[in-house]
Parts: sequence; C-alpha cells; structure tokens
Amino acid sequence: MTPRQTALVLAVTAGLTAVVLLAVDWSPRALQDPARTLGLLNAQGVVHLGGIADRAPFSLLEFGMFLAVGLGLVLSGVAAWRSQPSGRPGFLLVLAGWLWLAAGLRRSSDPFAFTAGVTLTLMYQPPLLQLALSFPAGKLKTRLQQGAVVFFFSLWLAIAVANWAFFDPRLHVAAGESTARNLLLLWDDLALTTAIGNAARVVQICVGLAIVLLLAVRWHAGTPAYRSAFLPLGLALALKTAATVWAAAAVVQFSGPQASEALLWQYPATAVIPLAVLLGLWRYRFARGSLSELMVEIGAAPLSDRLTEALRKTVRDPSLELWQWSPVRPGFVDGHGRARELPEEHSGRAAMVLERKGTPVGALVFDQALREQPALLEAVRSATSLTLENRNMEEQLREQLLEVRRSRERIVTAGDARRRQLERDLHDGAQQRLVAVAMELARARRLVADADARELIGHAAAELNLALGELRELARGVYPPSLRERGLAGALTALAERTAVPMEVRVELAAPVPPAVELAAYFICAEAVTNTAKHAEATMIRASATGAADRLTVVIGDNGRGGAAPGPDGGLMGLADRAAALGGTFDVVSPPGQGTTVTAVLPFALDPATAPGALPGEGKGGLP
Amino acid sequence: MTLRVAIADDSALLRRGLAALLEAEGITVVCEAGDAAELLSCVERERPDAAVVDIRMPPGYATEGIEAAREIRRRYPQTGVLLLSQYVETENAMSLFSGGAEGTGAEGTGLDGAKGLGYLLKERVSDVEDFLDALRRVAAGGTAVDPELVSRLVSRPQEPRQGAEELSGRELEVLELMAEGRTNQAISRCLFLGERTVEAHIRSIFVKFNLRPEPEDHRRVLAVLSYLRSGGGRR
Repeated sequence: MTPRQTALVLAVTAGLTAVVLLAVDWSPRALQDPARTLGLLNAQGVVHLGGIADRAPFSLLEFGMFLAVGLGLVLSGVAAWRSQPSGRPGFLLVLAGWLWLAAGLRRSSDPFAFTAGVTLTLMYQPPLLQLALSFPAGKLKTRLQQGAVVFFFSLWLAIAVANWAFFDPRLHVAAGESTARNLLLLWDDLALTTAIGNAARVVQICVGLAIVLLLAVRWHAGTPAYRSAFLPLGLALALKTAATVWAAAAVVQFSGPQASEALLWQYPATAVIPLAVLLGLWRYRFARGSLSELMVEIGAAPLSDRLTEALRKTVRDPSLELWQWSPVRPGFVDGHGRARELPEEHSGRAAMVLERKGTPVGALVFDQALREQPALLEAVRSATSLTLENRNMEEQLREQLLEVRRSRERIVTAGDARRRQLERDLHDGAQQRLVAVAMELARARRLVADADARELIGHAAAELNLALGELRELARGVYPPSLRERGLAGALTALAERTAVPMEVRVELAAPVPPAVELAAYFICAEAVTNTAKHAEATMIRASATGAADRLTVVIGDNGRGGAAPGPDGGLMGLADRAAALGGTFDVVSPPGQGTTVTAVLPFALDPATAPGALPGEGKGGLP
Repeated sequence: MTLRVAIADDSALLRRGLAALLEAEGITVVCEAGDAAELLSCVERERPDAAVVDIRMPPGYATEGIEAAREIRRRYPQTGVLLLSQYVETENAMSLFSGGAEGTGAEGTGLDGAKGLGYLLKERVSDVEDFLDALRRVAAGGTAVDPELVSRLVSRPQEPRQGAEELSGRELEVLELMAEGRTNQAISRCLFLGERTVEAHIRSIFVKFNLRPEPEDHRRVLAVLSYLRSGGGRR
C-alpha cells in the first residue's frame, strides 16, 4: 500500500463519515422513525417495529457503535492492506467499511440519501463474503467463485430494491409516524412486500447455507497453514452470521424495546470482523517474534531436522520442507536425497529459491497460503540463506583443510619416496662404481712392480675406502636400508648399534605398518636419539614402537638433563611436522633434570590403498 | 688345486672386475651370474668350492642373496657362500648364521649355521689378501664376518652386565679377530702371538662371558656374536 493510497482511503473515509454525520436528522420524530432503523432492511421488520409503541429511539450510543464498526472495518482493512502484497483482502475490508458507513445515510431526511442508505443497508456483506471465499490471497481462483460473488452482489442489491419497491413506510407505522420518503417505491402493496420479504429470506438462508457449506469444504481441504490463518476470520464470520440471523428473527418475534435492543447486537457481531483481522495480524507478528527463536535454533543446530522443525514452527506450516541444491544433477534434492521438482503454480504449494551470488543453494517449499506473509517469508529466507551459506562456508573450509592436509601428506610421502629412490640410486650407481674402482685399484696395485707406485695406489685405495664409508653413512641417513629389509625392528636395532648411548629397543606390531608410517617412526626415533646423544648427557635411551590396528605409537625416553624444547630450527619441530603430516600427534616432555620423553602417535588406515602412509610411486625392482 | 668360484652380482661392471681380480690370483671363476636363479643353476652344474654373492639382486633388490645363500648351503653343503653387501647389519648376519631362523625350515642346525658362510662389505675386495683369506676360509667351511660389524658390536656401549668381567685390551683384539671368523692360527699370525697364547686368551674370554667354549671356529663365531648382540661387550 502506497502512502498515496493510504491517504486516499483515509480521506474518502473521513469524507464519508462527515457526510453521514451531517446527514443524520436528530429531530425527535426522525429518531423515532422505524423506517430509518440502521441495519434493518426487511420491510416486514419496519412494519413490526412500527407497531411497538415503546421502541427505543435512535441514540448517540448506537450511532457511536455504528461509526466504530464502520471505521474499524476501514482501519483493519488499511492495516491488512499494508501487510499484504496484493492489498486485495484489505481493500475488501475497506470497501465493506465504506458501504457500512454509507448505509448511515438512512438516518437522513433527504429522500435521496434515505433511499441510498436503505439500498446499501446490507451491501457491506458481499465484500466480506468475497473476502471469506478468497481468503487469504483475496483473489478468487475459479470462475465459479467469481460468478458466485457477482451473483451475490447483484442478489443483495435486488433483494434490497425488491423489499422497498412496493413499500411506503409512511403508510405502515402503527405507533408514531414515519417521514421517510422511499424513492424506490413503485406502488404500495403490503401483501406483495410480505411475499417478497419471505421469499428473500428463504433465498438469503439458502445462500448463507451454501456459503457455510463452501467454507466448510475449503476448511476441510485446506492445509494447516490455511486453517491457522483462516481460523479467526472464519469464527468471526460465523458469529456475525449467527448474530444477523438471530437479530432478524428477534426483530420480528420480540415485542417492545427488546426488539430494537436486539438490533443493537449487530454492532458487536460486525465489529468482530475487524477484530478478527487484527487478531490475524497479531498472530502474524507473533510469528515474526518466533523468528528470533528460529535464529537461535539455527545457530545451535545448523541444517538438521531441527532447522526444518524450527522453520515449520515459525511459519506455522508443518508441511514446510527445505530442499538442497545439488550442483551435480543439477537440481533440488529433499532430505532423503531424492530429486525434486519445484511445485507448479496453483498446485497448492509454493517455493522460494534461496540463492547465493546468483546460484541456487536450496529451496523452501511450503503451503501457498504463506505467500500472503511476504515479510515473514523474507525473514525466513534470509535466516535460512544465512544458515546455508554458513554451512557452505564451513564445508568449503573443511574441504580446504582436508586438501591442505592431503597436500602436506603428499609432500612428505613424495619426499620419502624420493629418499628411497635416492638411496637406491646411490647403491646402484655411485657406490657400485666406487667399489669397482676399488677393485681395479687393487688389481693395479698387484700388477705394478714399482714400490712408489704401489704405495701411491695403496693411498688412493685407502682414501677410496674412506669415501665409500662416508657415502654409506650418507645413504643410510637418506634412507636406512635395514628398514626395507628388516622392518622397523631391524632398523631401530641397527640404529641402536650405532648410537653412542646405550639404547634399548622394543618393537611390538599388531598389524603391518604402512611404509610411510614406518619411515616417519624411524626418523622420529633417529632424530630423537641424535638429539639425546648430542645434548642430553644421558646414559640410557629407551625406544619403543607399539603398533595397534590403526596406529603406531613411538616413545623415546632418556635419563638425561631434560629441558629440551621444540624450536623453529630444531630437529624436534621437523619431527612434529612429520607426525602432523600423517595426521598424527607429537609431544615432548622434558622437565629439567628429569630426562626427555618424545611421544609420537601416527595413525594409519588398514586399507593400504587409502592409507595415508602408502608411498606413491614405489615400484619394486625398477632400476633407474 | 685351484679354488673354483661362482660370482653373482647384478652389476656387470662388478662381476667383471671381481672375476678379473680372482682370476689374476689364480682362482677359477666358473660362472658370473646376474641373479639368484642363474647362480643356483650354476652351482648345481658346476659345484664350485665357493660362491661370491651380492645380497641385493633382482627381482626385489632386497635380500635375495641371503635366500640364495641358504638354498646353496642347504642343497650343496660343499659350496661355501661369501655374501657381499654395500652395508653390513647385525640382523642380517644373525639371520644368516643362525640358519633357517627365517623360516627356511628345519635345515637350520643351530650353531652350525655359520659353517661355510661369510658376510663382508663389498669394498673388502680391494684388500685382496684379506678378501682371499676370507674366501678360502668360507670355501673350507669356515666363517667370515666383516670387521666393521664386529668392531661395531664390540665397541657398542652397553649397560654393565652383572658378574661380567672386563676384557683386557689383548683379549679384545683376540675377540674381534675371533668374531671375524679367523682361525687361531690366523689370529696368532695377525697379533704376532704364539698359538698357545691365543688359545689361552680365547679360553679366558669364554670364561669371562660365561659361555661354553666352542672348539670349532664357525661355532664360536656365532656364540660370540650372539653374546655381543644381546648386550655383552666392552664397558
């Protein structure tokens, strides 16, 4: 609703109210005139009322109630208009309010005004009926419904005209008099008027029953969301209808002031309708309030059944579903992973696609009735989008972390594979050749007769032997051959034999350990032992490797001076990195004076194909 | 009678060099094999006195030589095997000398496993005298253990053993040579000692180690290596 529309509606209402205020004839005679009774269309009712001598005159109280109902209809219409996208239900309420107010012209002494007021007496009802039929969209769906509403408008107008075409109120007031001039009058015929009145009543009752039946069917077929929204208005309309029927009966059946008092009940009964609309609005506000609860729930339980549950509670639609966008198919999938199509128009279901940067991330599918609460839907959309986005970001972050871990693992295992290859290359290449050279030198030495030359060759051979020894140690440092040949136990025993500090080795493996894990365990031991030998002043080292089904635990302890700490350039840090690359943990406990204990836990998968420890490119027997 | 020797090494360069070296010393090289299968068929055909075998050979480039050595010792006990490697590990030596411990069956005869077996660093071939000595020892059913391995075991730091007496410097020298598989005669020649003196030192060592004296050279090698490996030695 634009501000201009609001201003226009309020101006028309104010004008109409002013006209009615000015039109009311406050002379005692006019106040007692039964023909001017507000809300009393039935000519028979006027005749009956006219026969009661002590009927209550029109009062300021009644006029106040009358204005209050009319203004209430208009204002609740404005409120509904502002909260709805189409504005149609609000407009219908405003229209009903205007027609209601216009019927107040009946209290005028001007024949035109009086006649118009009489004709419009019940015309506020068709817009309300249309509202009930088209609830909550305000739009009539079928041609039948549109026809019914047009028929209803026409019928009500026809009944009003027919009731008063053969009735001159001035001739039929027994007690007091009527001064109202009926411009609809063709000729006065009370018998005809009575017949028309009876027929009209039958028609009105039939139409009323048909409407009740229609609404009952719709209620039965409606979704919970529809029922939830329609409930206040439905109850109000039922109350109003009952009150109208009762008042119509009472006016004819009761005698004395009770008859005119019974008519007063139509005001609260009608006032219930704008109240019901306001209640609907309040319920809507209430739903918005529970949005904040929704946000809390979303924060606590990202994208689970609980989110859907929270969404359902918030919008009062138990059929609401949250589908996720699957970029693979591409399409939407529901909570059970089934591919789903967005609902078509008029299928009773509506969908809202949640997007992020132009690409869909999910869809909310809900009862069509919810479309009438755009602000609520918008809030739900942002809340859900936020959750989905948050979850997507979390997923991306997790994937990235996983990728970083994998790549670190790849770097380490590729490095390990290179080490193995390098050791093999040294073994098959440089070492072989140098040994061959040593042999040649040995032969040469025996062939040469000259003593000086022999001595020279002897020196060269000795140097060569030293070089071979150094090369051997270098190759061992790159990759211990005993690890390949004898496994971790053999490699650690060999390590112990070469360590300057007495070292006890204990290896217990429950399952075969992947090569990369074995290598990491060996290097961790070797580095820790080197550190101990260099810095710890220990007299004893205990190294143990305990293998469970899915992990290898390496513990290296010494009885040295302790105080070791992993520094950025220290070997300990490298060991921590190595353990972390395999997804393991690394821990150094080194209190001063109480020795150092290094513990590494290296997990591995049992399946060698997926194991993080499987070395890539490790083909046996391939000569370089 | 000239020594008849088979050579197995996957490097043609080394095979040729070794064959030339041996032949220059008057040793007959009956065949040069590139892998274990070739070696075994050669040994079956030629029945050489000894086989010089590289440990790392095709197809796995791991310890194929050790497997081949076991097979030869089991099927052709008259052929000694001298294993060469570019590094020496106690584990390999023990597995080799304890004969059959690696699952080759009941053929392993305990301490007799070291009979006719040698385990040397490849580069020892450049010290021709020592190498030929070791080769002859092995061919004769004796034992040869690489000095580096022995000295590593002997000099290995150990927790002091209860009741173990310290060896004298001379005893240590004798121990190392004994562990290398040398005969008493060879030891006395090396250390310029009388053979009786060497025998006395050896007896003393066995007493200090609390081991039963072993009369045969190859048996006492294994006994001493086992003792050293399990944590004895100098301290």
